Amino acid sequence: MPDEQSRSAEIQRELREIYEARFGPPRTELIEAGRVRDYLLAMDEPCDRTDDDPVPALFLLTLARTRRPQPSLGTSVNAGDEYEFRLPVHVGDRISVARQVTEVAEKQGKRGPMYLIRSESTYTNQSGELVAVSRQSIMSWGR
Amino acid sequence: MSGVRTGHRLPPLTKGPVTRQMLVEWCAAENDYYHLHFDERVAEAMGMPGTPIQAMIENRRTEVNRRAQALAF
Repeated sequence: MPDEQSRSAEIQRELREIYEARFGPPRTELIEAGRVRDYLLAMDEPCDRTDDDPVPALFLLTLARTRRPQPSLGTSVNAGDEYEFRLPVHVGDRISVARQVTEVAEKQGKRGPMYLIRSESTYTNQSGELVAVSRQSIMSWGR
Repeated sequence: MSGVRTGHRLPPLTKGPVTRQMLVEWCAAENDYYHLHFDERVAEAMGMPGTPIQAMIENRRTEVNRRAQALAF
């Protein structure tokens, strides 16, 4: 059992490091009209909006993404999201995104241990106002 | 739902197909290129029968979620 506990703690530490590396430091991004248009097109939604219209709320999730490193070990899938949208965001706004891992925990699955990684992202505009918060859960197994 | 009565026959609900192009377009739109969503070999190596559809694409097939995703605050 001590070996299993040690292994579990090692995996949890490794997962935290992987996701913290993916999140990186807080970043600020400009809300661009072209990216909003591409977002709507990918959903087959009409793009007849003007830049005075607020952007789709979930568009914020496309900001400050990190492509590498990919979580290459085992299997990782989304296990749920929560959102709070507090203020509208427009094209031309500058949104700062800060992400952090809030929890890594072992869960028992049918096929062995699974690991739940929870994180929180905050979205703040150029005036320092908190415009949104998202909380993501990821389940990882097969390590 | 005005005009709907007991026995009213609703038109068939057609879903899909969801094509790989749609999955890749969504990767680009969401700025999330997690390889599981477009690379069949990665999905099979993870023990899945194929590349899973991103939750956002799956969800948008219901009207309520379409509105949540596409409309503003």
